Amino acid sequence: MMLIHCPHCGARDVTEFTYGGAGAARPADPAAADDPQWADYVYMRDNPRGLHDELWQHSAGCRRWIAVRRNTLTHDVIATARPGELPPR
Amino acid sequence: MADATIRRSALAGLAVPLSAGSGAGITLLERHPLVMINLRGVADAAFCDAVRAACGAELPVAPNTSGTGPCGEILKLGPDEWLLVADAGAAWSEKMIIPGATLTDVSHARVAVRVKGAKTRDMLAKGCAIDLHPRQFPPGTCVQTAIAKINVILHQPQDADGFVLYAPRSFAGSFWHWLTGSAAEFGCHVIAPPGDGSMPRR
Repeated sequence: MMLIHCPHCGARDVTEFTYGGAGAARPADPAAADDPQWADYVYMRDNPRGLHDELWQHSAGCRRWIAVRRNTLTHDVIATARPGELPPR
Repeated sequence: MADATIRRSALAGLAVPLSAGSGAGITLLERHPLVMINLRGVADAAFCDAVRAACGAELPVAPNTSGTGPCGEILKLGPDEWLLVADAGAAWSEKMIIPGATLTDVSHARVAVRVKGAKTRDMLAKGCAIDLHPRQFPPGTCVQTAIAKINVILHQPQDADGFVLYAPRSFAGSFWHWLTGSAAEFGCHVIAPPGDGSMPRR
């Protein structure tokens, strides 16, 4: 069992959450981003062995999207926060 | 707010009286009809004052908590979301004005069942990953979680007389079967709501 600490509800079982993919950083100035930058943001994903910043939705709870930093090797949840508010690594 | 047309519970025909004799460890009692209003807003001081003025109750702001007042209960659902619950016909439910709030009548969205008895925690624990020990889940606690894979609001009212579970009405049948099945080993006693579950037109 994996526990995820929802910033709004506290520690809950992983079955209450829905995985929402990697939390890739959106281009800072979307209007100025060119096609390769958008393609990189939309399609290209790292597949790290270790720390990974992700988006999850607390779908059976408060239904808010949250940011989760997780170790893909050990499944340890290192940190959770509101989207965009994870501390720098 | 809730137009007082006939309201038939999604548990009508299911939540029928059932006696388990003297040894019932679980009692199920449907709460119906209720008024339920979804409240959205930013919980600043002015908003809390407005809610207190309209409902006579403190707005719960801490996670997983609830408030209660003369008119009903306020369940905290999220950082900017609450559910107001009262018996149908409560005085405030018809003309609620809260500046800065979005109010949505969701009375028909859920069924509510009060579960009480000595074995309540054991019975709920069979389908739910929340720690229900009184130290972790004291009276007034309210969580949204999944019970038997059905998304429910699980609330222990301040009076500590068991738990009240709110489940989506489209899951009412499935939810009821889980409740009665899970309670069977402890002896399950069912009390039907008063009347035939419908409200008179006004």
